[in-house]
Amino acid sequence: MGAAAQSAHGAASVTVRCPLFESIIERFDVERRIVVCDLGAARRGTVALFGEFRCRLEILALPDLLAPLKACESPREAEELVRDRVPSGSDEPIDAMLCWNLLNYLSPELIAAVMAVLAGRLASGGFAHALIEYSSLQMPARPGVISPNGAGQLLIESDDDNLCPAPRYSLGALEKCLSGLKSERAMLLGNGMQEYLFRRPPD
Amino acid sequence: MFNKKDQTEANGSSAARVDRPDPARRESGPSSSGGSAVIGASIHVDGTLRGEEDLLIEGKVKGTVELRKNSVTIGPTGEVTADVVAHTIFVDGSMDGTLVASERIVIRKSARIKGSIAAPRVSLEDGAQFNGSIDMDPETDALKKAFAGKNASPKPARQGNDARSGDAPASGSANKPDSGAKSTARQN
Repeated sequence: MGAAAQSAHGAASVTVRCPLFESIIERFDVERRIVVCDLGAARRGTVALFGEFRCRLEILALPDLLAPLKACESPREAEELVRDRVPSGSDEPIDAMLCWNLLNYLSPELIAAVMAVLAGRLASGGFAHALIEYSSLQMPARPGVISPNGAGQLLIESDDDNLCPAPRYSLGALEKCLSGLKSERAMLLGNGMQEYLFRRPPD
Repeated sequence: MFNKKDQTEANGSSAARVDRPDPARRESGPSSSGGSAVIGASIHVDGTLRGEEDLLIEGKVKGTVELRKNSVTIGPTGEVTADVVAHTIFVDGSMDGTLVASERIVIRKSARIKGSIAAPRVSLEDGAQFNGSIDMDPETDALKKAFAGKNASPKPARQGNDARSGDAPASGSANKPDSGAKSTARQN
């Protein structure tokens, strides 16, 4: 079973090379302080990778909030939920925002609400990196967990055999939801997902 | 889209399971100048704890914990709402507040943390629930303030970061309270 087929059929664990993510890491200088915001859950691989840098890693664990987010009756209510997850003292500009998998499970309106809170914190020239189910029409009903697994690779793990329709957001469709961010590049990955790179235009 | 229920909505809390570590696996931890103290599961502490020995927290602690030369372990039954400053910190239990360590912080899979942590070295086991910030910059202000006049351990060269989480917390059978503690305690 190929990596893409695994992705389309629920529970699986697959490692994929992500050149655009790798390109972000390569830009970081070990001597310079960086701020990274991970919208997903805390993972060993993420802490280990960014522990090699002078890094402040903010972990929002937003997948825990999927049900409450979807129950929100207004964008403002959704923004408040997200704002509660932003760590206190978060006033430093973010160099990289990791939007792995989460966006697959949010409507365009909810993505816009999440980004209304976070996108403004991206540093001038800062990046947002997203993974989107693209080739497959279906995806695991519950988001899996994603974490770095060696240089330029991400480990994608799902324990859910139930499937749901994949939104298959295009680069352009997603860009409309990401306030102020511009699409840079997209790449089709070995498992059929797309990685998207967005950037806040340099001042 | 708002106010619509989605049949596919999911709770991604894959880390919701809480594993109770086997106490037998505890091994000796960072060096201690003189034994360990234990705050038992039935003890509530509200105040400031200071001292010069390792501390295992299995009870509830609110306030401040300052053991700059020693280790603090928040055990599996520990519930800490406090600012903790120590040489090394291990978390198995529940924590809401700030953790600052001059050497390292180890977050185990049973940990539930909301807050900010700062240490030159941090390791985290998959399954740990965490919402907050992890500052691994040895020059961060949080470390400078907590250890004024002392340098935090420098970060090892790239690739040298130890992501393993097998380090064991300091633990001891002693249950005497920290002689330097200023606290109010009550027993359930």
